[in-house]
Amino acid sequence: MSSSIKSFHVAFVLIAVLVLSLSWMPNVYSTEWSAEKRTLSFLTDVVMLDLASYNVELLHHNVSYPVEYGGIMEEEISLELKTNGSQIRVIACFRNKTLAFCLISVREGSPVYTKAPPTNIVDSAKSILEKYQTYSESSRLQEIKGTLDQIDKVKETTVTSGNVKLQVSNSGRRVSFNWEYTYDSVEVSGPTMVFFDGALYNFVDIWNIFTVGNTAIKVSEKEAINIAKETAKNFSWTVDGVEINDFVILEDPVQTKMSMQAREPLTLYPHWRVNVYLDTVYPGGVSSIAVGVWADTGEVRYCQELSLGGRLSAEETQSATIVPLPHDSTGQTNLYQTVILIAVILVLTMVIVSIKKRHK
Amino acid sequence: MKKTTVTTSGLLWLLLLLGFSTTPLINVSTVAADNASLMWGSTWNMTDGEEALSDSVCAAIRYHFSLTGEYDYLHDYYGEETEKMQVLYNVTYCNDNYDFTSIFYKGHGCHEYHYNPTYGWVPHYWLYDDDGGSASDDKIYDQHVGYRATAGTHDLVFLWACGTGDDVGHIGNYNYTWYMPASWCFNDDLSDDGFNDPDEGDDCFLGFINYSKPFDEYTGYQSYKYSAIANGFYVRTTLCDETVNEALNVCANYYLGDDLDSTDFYNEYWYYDPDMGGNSSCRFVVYGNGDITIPN
Repeated sequence: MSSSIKSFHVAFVLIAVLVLSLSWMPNVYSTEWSAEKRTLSFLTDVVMLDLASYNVELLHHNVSYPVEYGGIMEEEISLELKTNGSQIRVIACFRNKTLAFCLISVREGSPVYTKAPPTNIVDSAKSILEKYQTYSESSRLQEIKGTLDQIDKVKETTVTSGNVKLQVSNSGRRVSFNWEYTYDSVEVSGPTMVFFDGALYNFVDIWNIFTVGNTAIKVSEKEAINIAKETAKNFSWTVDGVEINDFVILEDPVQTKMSMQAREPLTLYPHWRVNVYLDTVYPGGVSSIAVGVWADTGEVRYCQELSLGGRLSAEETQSATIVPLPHDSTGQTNLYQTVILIAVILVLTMVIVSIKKRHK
Repeated sequence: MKKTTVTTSGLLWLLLLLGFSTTPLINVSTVAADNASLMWGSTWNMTDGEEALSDSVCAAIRYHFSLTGEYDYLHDYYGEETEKMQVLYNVTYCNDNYDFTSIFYKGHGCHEYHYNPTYGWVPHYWLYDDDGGSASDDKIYDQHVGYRATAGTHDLVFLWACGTGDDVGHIGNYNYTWYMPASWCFNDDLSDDGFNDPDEGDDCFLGFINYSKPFDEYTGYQSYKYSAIANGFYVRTTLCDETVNEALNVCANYYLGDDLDSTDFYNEYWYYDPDMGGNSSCRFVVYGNGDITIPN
C-alpha cells in the first residue's frame, strides 16, 4: 500500500471518528438544560404552536455573561419557523436559565396552533399565564392571574389585586398587559404580555431573576431633590476639553422618578432619579443635570449632564425664503472638475513658459 | 504654426479631455453593488462624552454593515466630513447609483418657517453639519435632501436628532418637500405608526418628535445608556436579519427592560428647555414600514 493511500485511510478514520463523536453529542446532552429546548417548550407548551407543522431552523445561539447581571449566563436563541403560508421569527433570551423574554414575530400568514386559541384576548392571556405558571414552576404568578379575573374584554384599564397592578393598553392591532407589584408604595415591574393581531407577540419577564433587597424609603422626594441640587452644584462637564462648571440651577422645575434599581447584581433597592434644570442652555447643549439617589441610603448613584439634540425651532422663525439649491447640482463633482481644470491650465502654462525660455 | 506650439496645443487638449473624463470614470468604477450605507453626525455643540459615544457608535454601525458584505458604498462620515455639500452630494450619488440606501445621522436638528408662493408658510427642518452655527450653508435642509432623493431609494433613514420625526411631511410640486421623513425617503405616504400599523412600502424612517435623547443618558434600566439602542438596532438588523420592529423590540427588552410600546421612550418623555420656557412632550417614532428587513 502506498504512503498516499495510507494517509488517506488515516484521514478517513479520523474524520469518521470526529463525525461519529459529534453526532453523539446531542444525545449525551439530551437530558441537560438547553436554551433551544426551553424555547421550543415555551412555544409548544405555553403558546401552543404546532411545531410539528413547521420546519424549525436554529438561526443563532449566543452565550454571554453580561457585567450588568453580575456575570450570570445569558443565552439568546433565534429560530425561524416555516411552513406553507406561515413564517415566524422567534427571539428568546434566558438569564440564569430563566426566560427573560420571547418575541414571536409573525412575518407571514397566521400561526399554526395545536389548539385554536380563544378569540377573546383576555382569555388568551389567562390561558398563556396558566401554562406559563406550569412552564416556569413559579408560584408568584398566582396573584397576577387574579388581576385578569377582573376584566372580561380588552379595554384601556387599570385594575389591582392585592399588591399587583395590571394596566391594559389597546392601540388597535396591539394589546398589552403590564403587571407591577407594589411594596410600601414602591412599584416593581412584573411581566408584560403583548398581543399583535390577536397572537402573542412579546412575552417579557425580565424582572423575575431580581429579588427585592429593600423597599424602605428613608430619603423623601424633597430630600432627594436637595441632595441632587447639592451634587449638581459641584458637577462639571467638558466641551472640546474645556471644563464647564459655572452654571445656575433653577429652583423649578424639577423632575423626579422613583423606581427600583439593582445596586448589587440582581437585588433591587428604591432609587430616586432627579432632573434639575439650568437657567439656560450651556455649551454642549446642556440644559439639565440628572442625579441618581438611593432612596434607602441617600447615597448618590450617578450625576450626569443632559444635552439637547437641537432646538425645537429657530429663534428667528418665519425667516426669508431660502433659495433652493439646484436639484441636479452635484457640488462635489463640479468641484473635482474645477480643480482638475485649474491644475491642467497651471501645468500647461508652466510647460509653455519653459519651452519658450528654451527657444530664446 | 511652429512645431512646439502644435505639440503644446495637442497636449493641452489631451490633458483637458483626460481631466473631464476621469470624474465619470471614478463614479462608474465604484458602482459595483446595489446597497449603500452612510453614517453622518455633527460634533458641534456637543459635550465631550456625548461626542465620544456618538463617534464610537457610528464607527460600530459601519462595522456591523461591513460584516454583511452587502454594502459596497459604506462610509462613516461622522464628524468633520459631515459638511452640507458632502451630505447633499452623497444623497444624489446614492439616489443615482444604489437600489437601497441606509442613513444614520447623530447630532442636532431644528426648524424654521419659510414662505413658499404655492404653500404659504411652511416648516422646514434641518440637520446641523459639523460646523454647526446659524449660517445656511451649515444647515442640511429637508427640501435640499428631497430634491436629490427623488428615486425613493433611501429606504432606512434613522435621524437621531431633535424634531426629525415631528411629522411625516409632504411632497409638493416640482419635488418640493418639507419635513425630514418625506424628504429623505421621498415618500409622503408613510404610515405615521410604522411600529403598530406598518404600511407595505419599502421605506422606514426613525426619528424623534421634539427633543431626542442624548446617547449619554441612562435609560433607567440597569446601567444602559441610549447609545446602546442605536448600536443594538444595527447589530440586529444587519447581523441577525431582524425586521426594524423586531430589532427595536428586542433592543427595548434588553436596554429599556420592557416591550418598546410600554416604555416612556416610545410613548412620551418630557424635556424642559429653559430658553424656550416650557416643557415639551417628546417621543421616538417609527414611520413607514417597520416590517422591512435590510440587505444583510
